[in-house]
Amino acid sequence: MFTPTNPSSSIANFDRPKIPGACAGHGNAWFKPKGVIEFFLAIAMSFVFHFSGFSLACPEVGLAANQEYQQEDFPEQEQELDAVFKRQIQPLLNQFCSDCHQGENAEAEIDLQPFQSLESAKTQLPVWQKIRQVLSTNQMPPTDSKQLPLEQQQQLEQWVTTFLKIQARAHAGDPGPVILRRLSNDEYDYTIQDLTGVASLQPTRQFPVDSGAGEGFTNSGAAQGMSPAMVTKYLDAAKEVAQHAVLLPDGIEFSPHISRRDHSDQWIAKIQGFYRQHSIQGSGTKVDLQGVQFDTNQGGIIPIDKYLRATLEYRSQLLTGQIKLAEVAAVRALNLKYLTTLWNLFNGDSSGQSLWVKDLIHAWQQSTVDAVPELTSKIVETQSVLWKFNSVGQIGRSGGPNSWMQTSSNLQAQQEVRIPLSFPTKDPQNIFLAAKEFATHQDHLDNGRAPNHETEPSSNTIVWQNPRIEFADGKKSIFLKELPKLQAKIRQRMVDHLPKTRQYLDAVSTLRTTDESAEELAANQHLDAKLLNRWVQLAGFSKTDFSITGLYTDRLAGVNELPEINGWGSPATPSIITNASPETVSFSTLTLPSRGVFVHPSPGKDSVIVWQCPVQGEYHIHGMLADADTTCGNGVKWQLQLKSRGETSILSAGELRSSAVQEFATEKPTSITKGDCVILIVQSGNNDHVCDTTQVDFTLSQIDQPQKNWNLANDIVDRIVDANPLADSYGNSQVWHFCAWDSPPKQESVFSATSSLSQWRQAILNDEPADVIAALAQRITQVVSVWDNDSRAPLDPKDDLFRTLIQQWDGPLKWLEDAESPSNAGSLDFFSDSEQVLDFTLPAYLGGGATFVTTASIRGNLNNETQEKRIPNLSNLAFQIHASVNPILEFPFQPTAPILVLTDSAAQQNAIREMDLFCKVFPAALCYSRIVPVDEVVTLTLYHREDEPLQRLFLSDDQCQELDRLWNELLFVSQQPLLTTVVFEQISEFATQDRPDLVKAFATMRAPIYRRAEEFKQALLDSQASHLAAAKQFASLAWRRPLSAAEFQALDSLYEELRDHELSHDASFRLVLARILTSPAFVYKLEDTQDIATAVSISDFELATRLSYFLWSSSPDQELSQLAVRGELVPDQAKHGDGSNDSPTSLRLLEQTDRMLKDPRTKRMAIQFACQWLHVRNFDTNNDKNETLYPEFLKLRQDMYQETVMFFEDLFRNDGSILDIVDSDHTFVNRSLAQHYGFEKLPGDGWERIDGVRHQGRGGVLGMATILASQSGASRTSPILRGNWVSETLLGERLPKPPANVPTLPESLPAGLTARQLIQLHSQQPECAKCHVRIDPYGFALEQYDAVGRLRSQRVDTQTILFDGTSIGGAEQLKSYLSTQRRKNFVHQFCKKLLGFALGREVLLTDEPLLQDIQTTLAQSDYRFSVAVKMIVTSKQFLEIRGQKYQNQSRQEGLPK
Amino acid sequence: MSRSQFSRRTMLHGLGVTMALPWMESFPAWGARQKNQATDQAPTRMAILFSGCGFHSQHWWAKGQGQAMELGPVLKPIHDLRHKMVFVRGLYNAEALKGNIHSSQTGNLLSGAPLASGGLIRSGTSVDQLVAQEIGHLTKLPSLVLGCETSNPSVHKNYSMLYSSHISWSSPTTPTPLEVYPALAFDQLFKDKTQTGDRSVLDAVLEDATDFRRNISKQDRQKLDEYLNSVREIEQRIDQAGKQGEVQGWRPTLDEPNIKRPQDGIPQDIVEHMRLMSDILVLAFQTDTTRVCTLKLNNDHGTLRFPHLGIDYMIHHLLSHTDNEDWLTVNQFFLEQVAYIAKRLDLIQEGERTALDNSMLLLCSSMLNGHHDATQLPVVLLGGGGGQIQGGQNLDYLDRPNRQMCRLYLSMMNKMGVQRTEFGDATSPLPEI
Repeated sequence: MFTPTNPSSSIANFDRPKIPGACAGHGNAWFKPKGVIEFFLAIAMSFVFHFSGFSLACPEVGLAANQEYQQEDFPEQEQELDAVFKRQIQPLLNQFCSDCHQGENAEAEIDLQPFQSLESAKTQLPVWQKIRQVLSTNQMPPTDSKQLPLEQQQQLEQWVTTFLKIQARAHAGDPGPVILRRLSNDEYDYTIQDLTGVASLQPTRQFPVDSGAGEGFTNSGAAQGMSPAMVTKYLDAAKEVAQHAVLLPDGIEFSPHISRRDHSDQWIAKIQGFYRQHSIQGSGTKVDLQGVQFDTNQGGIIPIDKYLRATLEYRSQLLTGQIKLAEVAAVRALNLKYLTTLWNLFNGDSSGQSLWVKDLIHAWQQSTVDAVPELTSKIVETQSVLWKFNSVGQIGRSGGPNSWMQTSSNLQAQQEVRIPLSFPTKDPQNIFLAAKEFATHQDHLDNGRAPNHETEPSSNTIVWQNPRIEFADGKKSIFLKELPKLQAKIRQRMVDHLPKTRQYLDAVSTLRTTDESAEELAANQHLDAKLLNRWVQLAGFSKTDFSITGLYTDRLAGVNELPEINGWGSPATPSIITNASPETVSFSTLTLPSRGVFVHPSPGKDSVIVWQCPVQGEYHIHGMLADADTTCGNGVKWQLQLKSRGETSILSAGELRSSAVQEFATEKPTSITKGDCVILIVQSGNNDHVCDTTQVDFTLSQIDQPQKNWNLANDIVDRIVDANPLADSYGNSQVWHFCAWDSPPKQESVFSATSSLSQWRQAILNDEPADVIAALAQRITQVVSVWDNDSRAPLDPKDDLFRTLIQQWDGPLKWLEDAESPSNAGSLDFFSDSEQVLDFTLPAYLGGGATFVTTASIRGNLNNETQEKRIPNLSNLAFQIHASVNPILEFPFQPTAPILVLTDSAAQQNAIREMDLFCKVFPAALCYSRIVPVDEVVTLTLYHREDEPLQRLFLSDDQCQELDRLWNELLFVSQQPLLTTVVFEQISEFATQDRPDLVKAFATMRAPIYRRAEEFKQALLDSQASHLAAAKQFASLAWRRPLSAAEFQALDSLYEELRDHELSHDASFRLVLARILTSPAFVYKLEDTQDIATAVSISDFELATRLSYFLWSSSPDQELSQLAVRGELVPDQAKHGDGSNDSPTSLRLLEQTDRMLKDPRTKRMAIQFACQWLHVRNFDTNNDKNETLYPEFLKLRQDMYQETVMFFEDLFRNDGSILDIVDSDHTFVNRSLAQHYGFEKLPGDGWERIDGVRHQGRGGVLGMATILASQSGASRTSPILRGNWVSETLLGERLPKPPANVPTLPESLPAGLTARQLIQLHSQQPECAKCHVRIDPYGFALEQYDAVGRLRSQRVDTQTILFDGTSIGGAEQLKSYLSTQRRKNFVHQFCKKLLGFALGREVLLTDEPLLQDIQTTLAQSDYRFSVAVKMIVTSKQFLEIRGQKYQNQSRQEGLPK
Repeated sequence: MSRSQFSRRTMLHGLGVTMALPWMESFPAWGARQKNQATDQAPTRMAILFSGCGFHSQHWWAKGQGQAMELGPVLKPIHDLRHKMVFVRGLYNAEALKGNIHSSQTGNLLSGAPLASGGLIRSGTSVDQLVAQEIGHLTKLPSLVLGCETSNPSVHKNYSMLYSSHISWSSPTTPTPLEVYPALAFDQLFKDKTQTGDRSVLDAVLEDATDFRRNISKQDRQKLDEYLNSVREIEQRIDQAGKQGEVQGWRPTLDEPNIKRPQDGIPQDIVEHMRLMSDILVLAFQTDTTRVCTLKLNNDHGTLRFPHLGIDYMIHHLLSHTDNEDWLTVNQFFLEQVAYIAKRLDLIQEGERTALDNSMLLLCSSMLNGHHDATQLPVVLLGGGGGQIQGGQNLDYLDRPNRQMCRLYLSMMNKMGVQRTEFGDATSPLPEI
């Protein structure tokens, strides 16, 4: 303690604690900081004073009061001290203390015997510090001993204080004994992380835990042991770090990973990151290759919409110059180079541009920002036509692609036009065809004019070959040339026969009841026999069995080599199988129950079972379906149909989900005629799956006589393979049919039950009167014999549809079939000129599924025309085709449509050039952002680089170089050229097995691949020197100083030696790195000392190291090192030992301190200094809480720790007030911690600084869960632990030793007692009370917080009287007490701990003047953290080191005797 | 430079002499046992097992002698072994009474040395390390220092907590770093194959010493030498690896590990952790990889919890203050570890004796019970020390003069072949042992 006691104050009274710094203001009265600069100067000057050893001056009571000491005063003072000692002090000690404190068995190791003079007292300063301590805390003499009179006690204390103070000042600034410091585990990790730039490295994770020494920090050398096992750990750690080095073509870099594969991935990610800066993901297409799905064409796309939007949104401002392109690019995060290109393109002269570009410019100029999507799709669609993508995996083989992205000429010699015709239609349809000739760019350049139709021979330049109507089902096409003839013929036939419809219907009716054949009847009645038969069929009175198609032809006997499993169909699907065995049979994914029938549809093909009725009757039908393959598939759809004489009705239908079972039954008896079919159709669900094996069964029970039963399974299981169709068990042949039908089933008759024909049919079946039937027949006749618009009478819509069908050329009456085929006479082609529209009218009722088809070409291109027949100058012509069902009125350029040109013509060349102009500016992709191709099953290309568009359109030269460098590094890191030879050989061997053609195709690549591999090997060799150079550079950083030439030489020699041991370059290089990191130069913070008796300045490098380990717990960074190299860090005064002037270099040191404090690395200081000081470092692994009582603790401890770390990091980086540590109104929380704290408002995601927390019980360390929990028991709070913590940790009080055999406290509270009452009970015992009255009240004030730092919901008694008599209640008053009344104690403690941390040793008596200074300055500077730091880093202690013969070595250090 | 002309190693060895590292001079090469150990007798081994915070105040006792000896409940797990056990009452370390509590009662437990307080670290070379420094050259590892609880890095009551977690000291200022990772402890014993180049790297690191030592203070030089000497020791191990050759006379009953290398990391379960460490200790003795071992089962002032015993509401240290039934249960758990090691050793037949008969297992603590009472220490000695210790004894020194704990250490040292007349505050061994 440094302050003289005020003699008038009562020593026993603690309301005036003895706090150092009471003399603040005297010694530093000149110091009035104004601004930052002044402040620096002030610090620097006060530092000057330190060096002189008299920075402090306090009034000394009884000795030279109110007077600054000068060096020469010391002898005088000491004489006086000596005199007082002999005259007054020694007798006092003898009288009151010597009984207990003398000789061998002196209590508490305070032996007063040796102190016979001042000189002897000076040899054991720690003893005197102890004496001062016990006196100042009123511990001695003990209450049961003879008491000193007050006046004498003051005298004694005053003398000791003054004596120590003079001793302190005599050697003020002593750098002290700093034991060689090894990097602590955390320092080692941080240093490695900073050196390598890899934050995930933690090489010391299995090192023994560091111990604390000095002021309680792990950065003190005293506590750091060493053993061979430890050295092994260091060697292993160094080797581990070396594994993370990545060898590059020109140096090294460190990676979070250690395998080549991971390194390659890392570089790929770097390049992809580069690519992503300018491009976006595209929508890739899936490609299925041999069952493997690949994505292709993904990524690397220009976000063209953003560029368009920017150009349009800022157009007017850009045009008026209000804004610059660069600004737009910056605001919109766009690439300026490309934006400029587009802007100039859109605003430039379009006349010289290609058709595609011109079209776009025109569109842009007409557009507003609303049109961005439209413009974008215009570009994207054009890109999709003018570009194509190839697979990358086999680029380079002959016949293979040359690049991923390729312009795709959209030029064609001929172009097919296909226009589907709608169905049904009553009106004639029109087809319009036209060709537009346009001038290519080259024409302009060459001729400077548009083509002139006046002068150019231009008749019939375009040929439309064979315009025709095609039918889907392979029926003969109708050529337009012959259409008129055909049309006339069919019309004639309709005119001839449709008015006779009533006769036909009568004949149909007649045929039903007679045995007369249709042909005979037709002949008799002058009807067309073919037509009559069609009416019979249409009316549903046909006697012929309707044919069942799609019967399986292949037997499946003994499926999966199981004799009981048989069926029909393809071995894959669709199929039907049965299990004839009496047991369930399982194979593959199937489970087939005993005697079951199973169908398997396949996508697009339904599996169908048809029962064709052998006996007419009324039937009841019921059945079931069940999934027989529950491991996959997505269910099936099914339908039970009755097909009866041209009409189909659905009896039941449903959807069967995977693993489900379904049953069905008809509600009413169904009338089934012989020859009718009951059909079960099973269709694969969504047409998209194959695991659809389904068990089916159904039974038809005849209700009327003869009451027969047909059950599918019983009927077919044993004989299924006998035949298809299969007879039933009653002997009726061809009852069961097993088929596969296209799904969905073809649409059947469109006649509804209410159509005229249906009514007529029903009337006949019902035997209704002849007149009714006749009337219906007459109506039908009227309906069908109207065929032109003019005479068309209004019709019922149903009949309208009916008529349409009847008159349809391809309808049920099949007019077209009967019309005579047209003769193929003469050319079927049509011809036209540019902009001439051909208009074809197609007849109505042409039929469904028909398509208009023709092929257009330039006439001269026709193969069958000779060269001479070519029309001259066609070579320069290019056309686009327009084809539509709507009239063509104009002929705009269609950017995505093909261009018709003559092969090898000038126009072709021109058009290609024009397309290229577009493609140059609008590449489909900027780069192949995948890098690793996965679009071939066998891939030769390991990494594919294709980014020419990106480089050309987006990148500056520097960026291109950067990209080149990254690629070069990737190839190097992955050793791709070497790997490629391996892959090549593999592919060759693979291909020789079954693809001799590929062997040839790859053969040409062999030589280049091997050549590149050889070149790469050379490059590897060439790079080795750069790695060694990098290792040396690394060594300078790791050793925190430049290496000597000999040291560099030693690194080279080690490398050579290792190579001699036949280690590879890679292995040898890594061992060199390991060697650097195993060296004491890295592991220890070595500092040179000289063989002298004084303290001298350390070197610039040593200072840089001290500074960075103080503030960052890590090695100096580049900037700091460079200052050290330039020798600008150590202040000149320190170097020369004089304080003559303000030095700019001490400003450097302060500037660096400022800079470093603001750096995020200061977080480490929060952990290493603050958390260690407060005993909460590694709180995130605190495992001390009872998990039953506090189950949430384990989840929260990380957050709790984070709060404390963030609080201090913020305070340090933002230069907060250190008083905030005790009492602040803010803290940092995330949502879960805020909930834990019961905050009114919860933060969002992540961490937030919250202000105004004081009234919610938080703010300062005493409100933090870390402190409150770590100073509690496992299951309850401990006011003693907390109180002790406040006393020792925050205030720096030293408590007497607890008595031996202290009574124990129960962990769980006895009934009826609070924690507080329990402790009070304990503390009443006199030997305990001595300490507890000093500590417990602090703890009582914090009792509102539970053992994990929550506020208790019940109010508890927090009112208490502190040892100094102050009465407080609750945490808030405690904080305010600590930050005001006890401020000086707290500030002293803080400074002491900070100094101890900075120096890595215990704070000594000789440090007290410095501590005093810091406290004074802090008080004048708003307690800013940086003030303390700066005074420390400019202190003599921090800047100097003891010489080897330094005096005063041991007398102030507390070594045991 | 033509490398063929110089062997750097030769050069370095030359340097090694001129470096004049005192410790190295007195360090005979390991492997020399070929010369010295032509005996049929299995060697004597010594293990010190430590558990902090003492034991239950009522249940640590022994009555009677020999087979008739009765043991307090804490000692129940070693009841079967009492014929091979010596119960020692009343020994203490005078220096441990001087400082504060816990740390200052532990840091000098095995040396009896005065402890530095405040921020300084100084104790005394502990008995195990002293023995290791004398006879360690006879085995591959001079000693094995194991722990089952990581250290606490803070300073408590003016003493570094380092004292609470380090009983083994290789010099007065160097607590021996202890291994808490079972896998790494296992590697210490059996990982012989160093990688090519390691030796060169270590050579180079040693070479640094010449430069670095020149300009640093004497104190720092001592600290640096700890490192360099450790490097030397590893180098010698590398040199000797695989050069063992034919050994005359007694050979260990096991050459290769008979357990698998434990998994990396610290086991979550304290039972498993202790079991693995115990197995490694037994294995080290059985293979004669070392003859000196300390195993710190927990820290004094420790924070272990014991969920497997259903006692999870308090950490070890606080539990020690309760003196209740749970505390007894926890005590017994630690004694079970001791019993396990002793019984495993007793199953290993080495000629007519068992490995336990050839060993001394010392169980001790920093205080008698949880109330910081270090005026007498709980001590149990298991094993025959190679026929030198009579089992079944119950010794009581409490009311006798010269009851220094260091006298016991002197006795043990002598049985290990280390002849000393004084150690710590003792000037003679205990005659009864």
